[in-house]
Amino acid sequence: MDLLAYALAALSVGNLALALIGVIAGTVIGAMPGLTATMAVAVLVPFTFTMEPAPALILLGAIYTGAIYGGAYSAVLLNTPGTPSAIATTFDGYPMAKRGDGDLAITLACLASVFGGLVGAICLLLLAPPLAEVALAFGPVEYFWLAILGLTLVAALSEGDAWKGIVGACVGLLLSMIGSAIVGGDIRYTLDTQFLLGGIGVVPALIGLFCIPVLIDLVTSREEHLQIEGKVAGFRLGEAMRIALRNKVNLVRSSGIGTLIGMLPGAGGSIAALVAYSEARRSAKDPDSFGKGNPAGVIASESSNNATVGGGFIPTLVLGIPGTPADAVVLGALLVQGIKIGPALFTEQSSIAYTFIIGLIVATVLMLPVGLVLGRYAYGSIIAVPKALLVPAIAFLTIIGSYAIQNNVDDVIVMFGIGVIGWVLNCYGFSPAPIVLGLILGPLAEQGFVQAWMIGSATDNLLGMYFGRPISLAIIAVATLTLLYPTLSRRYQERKARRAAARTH
Amino acid sequence: MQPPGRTDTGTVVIATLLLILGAAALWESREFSALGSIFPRTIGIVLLIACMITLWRTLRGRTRPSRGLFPDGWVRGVLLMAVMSLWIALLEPVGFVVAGVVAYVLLALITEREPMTLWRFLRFVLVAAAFVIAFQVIFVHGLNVQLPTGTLFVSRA
Repeated sequence: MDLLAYALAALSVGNLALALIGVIAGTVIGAMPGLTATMAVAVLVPFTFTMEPAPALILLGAIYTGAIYGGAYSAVLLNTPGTPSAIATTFDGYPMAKRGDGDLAITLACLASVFGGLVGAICLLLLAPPLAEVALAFGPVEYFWLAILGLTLVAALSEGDAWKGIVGACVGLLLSMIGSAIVGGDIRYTLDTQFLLGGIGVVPALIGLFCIPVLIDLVTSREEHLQIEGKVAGFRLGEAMRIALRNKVNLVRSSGIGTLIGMLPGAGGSIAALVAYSEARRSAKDPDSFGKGNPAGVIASESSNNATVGGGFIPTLVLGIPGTPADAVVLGALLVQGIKIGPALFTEQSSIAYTFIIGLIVATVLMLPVGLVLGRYAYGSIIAVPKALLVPAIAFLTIIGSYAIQNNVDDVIVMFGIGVIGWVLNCYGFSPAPIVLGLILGPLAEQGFVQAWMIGSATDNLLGMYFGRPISLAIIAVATLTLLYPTLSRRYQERKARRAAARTH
Repeated sequence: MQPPGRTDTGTVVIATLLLILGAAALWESREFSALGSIFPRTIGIVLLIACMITLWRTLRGRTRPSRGLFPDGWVRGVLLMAVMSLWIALLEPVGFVVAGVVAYVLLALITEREPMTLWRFLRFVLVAAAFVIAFQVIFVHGLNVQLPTGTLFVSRA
């Protein structure tokens, strides 16, 4: 009955209005390349200091969940992820938009985001304390193998030439090592300049790698930005619902992956989306259609990245360890509010905790109408704008987005420099996606690898450290399956066809 | 696969440059501590091997032909890169608004393929000014992001 009381509190007019405002503000901010979900939450945190704890948390949760979804707009329509969590959405979302299915991709992203967000929030509501224990079972070596699992996606992203994909991933991994080493503190590959001392930021690199090649192609090509046959068909909600229903296993699996990875401190929405995308591709009957506009790719990416919202709050609220960078900002806001973090939060201050969680569920549900309406508007606008005005607008967003990260022109230079290099590499078949993959997963892989190496060496059990822990073994098994499954499956089908042919003769 | 007798020279050049990058990363890693060098060395070696295999496959004609730089003409692409470089260089000296409006109009002119009329040009200027100023207001007053105001026009006392 207590839950009913908390639900009624969360559904008060004031809280509903805050959730709505938060979702709209978050979606708009998340849609702008360079403005991440963390930034959206951080910018709006000061407004919550004078509010009561539960409404303040509802507002922050709504902004966060809206921003993660908003990243899909620019990923689908401009091939530029609005937030790093939407990287995997570009792989199939943009090809869908190019062939005239941008409206369908946006609606699918909305449905998948709502479903994933609800799964994460319901796990937070019902399973927070036991799931927080799972997060604690992940040590350095498990993080290392998780990064390797993400890197297996290179094979899928390398557009027909796996070796070029590996080259791209290595370039990304080397870029991630620039600056101060995570373990040991060595200053690496800075060319003795101050400029590179802080390393290459993921967000400027991401904007450059995805956006600059699109800009150059747009100005050099005579074709329009997106192909549209006839009028814009509207939300295409029925069609999207049917596709989502056909992908129900993908939806549930990706949301589960998102919740689990969201719980792991430092992992975040981008890694969750990449792993979920990789799994969706591996288990698909037509893996070759991924990267060419398969709606299942959009579903996997968007459901998993929104599931990280609820998942990330599990260790944040139960253990005081933020699951994602945005959770760290919310954690700061909680401390300012004088809320005691830990298991006691769910007993001693249960009204705040449960009102917030139910508020998060309400905000996620509100994302459906808000997302559909804003998505339709965004799609209509992108189509209506002539190319001569769209190109400078995208260029402007890349400049302001990368500048706003740290109020620094250096980030803009990094964005443009890496973007031009990425464009040249792309022209010769080295796709930018594996470079981004390496850049994002590099720090996670290196930290896990080196820490596990140190612990293994100190305990004189190096092999056991890497290959003797049950969670590690499970991740290794999935990674191996991801790599080998397409080959094994093809050989099995070929053998089956040969046998069938032999029988008929 | 490539047509027989044709080598994808661009891919060969890029793969060679990346091979040199891998070798340089390995060479540089000699100066790092034991902990700091494990990962760069591993990745450097993998990059070298992957580049060599890519080179071998390209020279044997086993890779798909690349599209090369500027398949649809190079002028507009080069102009875009030049304008964006200039835009970034001028951000701090002339300020966000002036640099933004000028670059916006220049990029619109580069992209436009229809004949230029005075009305079309004025439309570009008006849209550029409205767009840039709207974002300036949102970022500075709404999101509290301090954008460069320009140092060139500030009088020095």
